[in-house]
Amino acid sequence: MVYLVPFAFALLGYLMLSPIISMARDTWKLIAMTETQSQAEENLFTGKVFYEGDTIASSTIQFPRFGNQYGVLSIEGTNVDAPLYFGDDDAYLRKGLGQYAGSSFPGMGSTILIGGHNNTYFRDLKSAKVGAKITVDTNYGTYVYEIERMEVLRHNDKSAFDLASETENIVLYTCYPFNMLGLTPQRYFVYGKLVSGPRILLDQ
Amino acid sequence: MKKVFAVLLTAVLLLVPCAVGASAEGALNEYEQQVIDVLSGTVSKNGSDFQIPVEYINQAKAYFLTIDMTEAQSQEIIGYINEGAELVEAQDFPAGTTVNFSSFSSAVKQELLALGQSACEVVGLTLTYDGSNVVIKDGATTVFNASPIVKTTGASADMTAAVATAGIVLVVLGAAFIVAKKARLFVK
Repeated sequence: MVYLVPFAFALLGYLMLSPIISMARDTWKLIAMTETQSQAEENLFTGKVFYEGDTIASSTIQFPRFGNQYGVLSIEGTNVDAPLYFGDDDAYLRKGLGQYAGSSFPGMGSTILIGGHNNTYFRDLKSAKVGAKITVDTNYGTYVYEIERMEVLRHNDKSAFDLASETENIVLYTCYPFNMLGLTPQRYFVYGKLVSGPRILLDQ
Repeated sequence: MKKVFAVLLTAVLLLVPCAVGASAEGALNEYEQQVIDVLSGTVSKNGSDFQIPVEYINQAKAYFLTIDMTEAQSQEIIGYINEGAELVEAQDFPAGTTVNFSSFSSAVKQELLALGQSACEVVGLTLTYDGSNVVIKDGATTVFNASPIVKTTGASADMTAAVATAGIVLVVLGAAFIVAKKARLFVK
């Protein structure tokens, strides 16, 4: 019986440590990735773009692919000021905020859905107030949204947002409660309406 | 059904990189718009309507904005979509049934996946399906992902697994020590 203890411990240890090993491996991958960036991880955002027109031709924009940083998002009255990536895989959420690839781009007249970790880049999302401005500086122009409301909803609540909306709006989210240790089914959503920014003409 | 159309969508995305001299910039040209229009259509079956989720179409649109599609490519892609749609329509489900990829027989699943995979291989894209999620890549770059919309974005996403695991390891260590001590394994 006692000889089974070390064997059982080794087996349990392997099973239990696998997530840690996996996380360490993913972290190493992330470190390695930042040292040799592929084209997919190219940073398209090189600084604030001052564009004065009400519209912008789509053909003049270099749209991002998965993994490209294409902007910076900041929220008035908070410490939120983070890189914005297209795509919200774990690797990108560790480096900044991630736009869900199945949502719209700023300027396209629909819903922009952006997530971020509550212990890093969206740590101070909880400080956002109704009426405050969300500024999204992209590689093709600056967009400003005004916060209208906040809601705590389940992650799979289909009423949380409408990706088919024909009115431009921004939805930011992070896990809730903010300091809960453990997987949580709830998300803290912040909703904003468009205030300014050039409308993208997709057929030009 | 979502996974089915995700696979169909792969047939769309597959042929796109065939465009010679694809531009990283671009409007949504008329050929790409035609594809989007077909993808946005509704398939009616036994009183139920089926549509590709808007988030899948948005991903296709986002990818099309980074390439230039020709008329020939558009027509061929639409042909693939229609072929897949016919295969789906040929399946018989009771009225009002919620249909998804898992609803189909193994043969149909294989046929749909084979359609997508073969088309991917022609243009160098890879399609992977792990039983729950479809991912399409252009080399190392993801161009389509059918993962859940809202991600895990808490401290738990990074730390809980590690903390819980470490706790379990400590408990196991402690238990092993107690057992070993009782068995006098440490007695010289």
